[in-house]
Amino acid sequence: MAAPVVPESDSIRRAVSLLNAVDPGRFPRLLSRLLQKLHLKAESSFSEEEEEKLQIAFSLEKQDLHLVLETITFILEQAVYHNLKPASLQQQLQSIHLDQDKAEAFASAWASAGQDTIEKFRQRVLTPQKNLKKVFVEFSHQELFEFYNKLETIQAQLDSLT
Amino acid sequence: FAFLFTVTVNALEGKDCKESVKLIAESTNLSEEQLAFLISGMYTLLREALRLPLSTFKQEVSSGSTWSPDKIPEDFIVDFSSIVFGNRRPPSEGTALIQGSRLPSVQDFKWRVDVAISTSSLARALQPSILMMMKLSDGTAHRFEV
Repeated sequence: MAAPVVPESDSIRRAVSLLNAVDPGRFPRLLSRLLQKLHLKAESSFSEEEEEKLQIAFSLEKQDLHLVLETITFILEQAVYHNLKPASLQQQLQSIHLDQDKAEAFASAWASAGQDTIEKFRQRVLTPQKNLKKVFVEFSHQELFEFYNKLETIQAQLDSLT
Repeated sequence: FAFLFTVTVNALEGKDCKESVKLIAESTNLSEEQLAFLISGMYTLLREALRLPLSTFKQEVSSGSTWSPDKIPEDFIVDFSSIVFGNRRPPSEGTALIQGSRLPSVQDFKWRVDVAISTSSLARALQPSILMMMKLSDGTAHRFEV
């Protein structure tokens, strides 16, 4: 692994110490939840109510909670970007001094939901605008056959990519 | 009558009748209005008759309701019937089928396959997308992504 995926900035360091202090019991569930909603980054993952519950559950102030959530999200987005293997992710996290049990929790959550998350990001790429319009066309037998062949050619091109 | 009839049948078969109609207009002393009435009337009558499939129509005719002799002179009925039932029916039918309203067909179809190599969220994305451009016979063009 060349350059570190997670830089050791001040906010990261602060976030890591907060994370290390957090109760490891509820941690995996938080990770899964954030992973699920990662590709929908536009909307924040938690409602006002849920955030308040999290503040209590993890005994974190509102601002600290936000830092923790943003940092976890950032780490996961980096994992997506670089297509990290779970082991690499764990290594990276331990090298910025995250406790081993938390790093393992990351690796484990990434191992189970990582590929799906990456797929969702892949598909998000090409569809900012999907304005569906219905068009009606009539084909003769000959025309339909030619159209079918063209589609087959396109499919063959797609298949040759993988 | 015969002349008018021929012109109408020709129209149904898709032939151009402007010349014939002009000839008729000059040779009779019917007013333009009357002529128009007659031709369009015969045209509509025959067209509606051709619309119905043969089997349905025969029943109505035998029940005597369609061609009532007090509305249409006997000899004219013979001519009408010959078109609808006789062997001159297919050309009229054929034209009607071709001229009916249809959906456009595809005139031109171009496509390309793109691959997104890298994006802001994925260093190695390799995500294919297809761009299609379709031109239809009614002149519209459609450009879309699959």
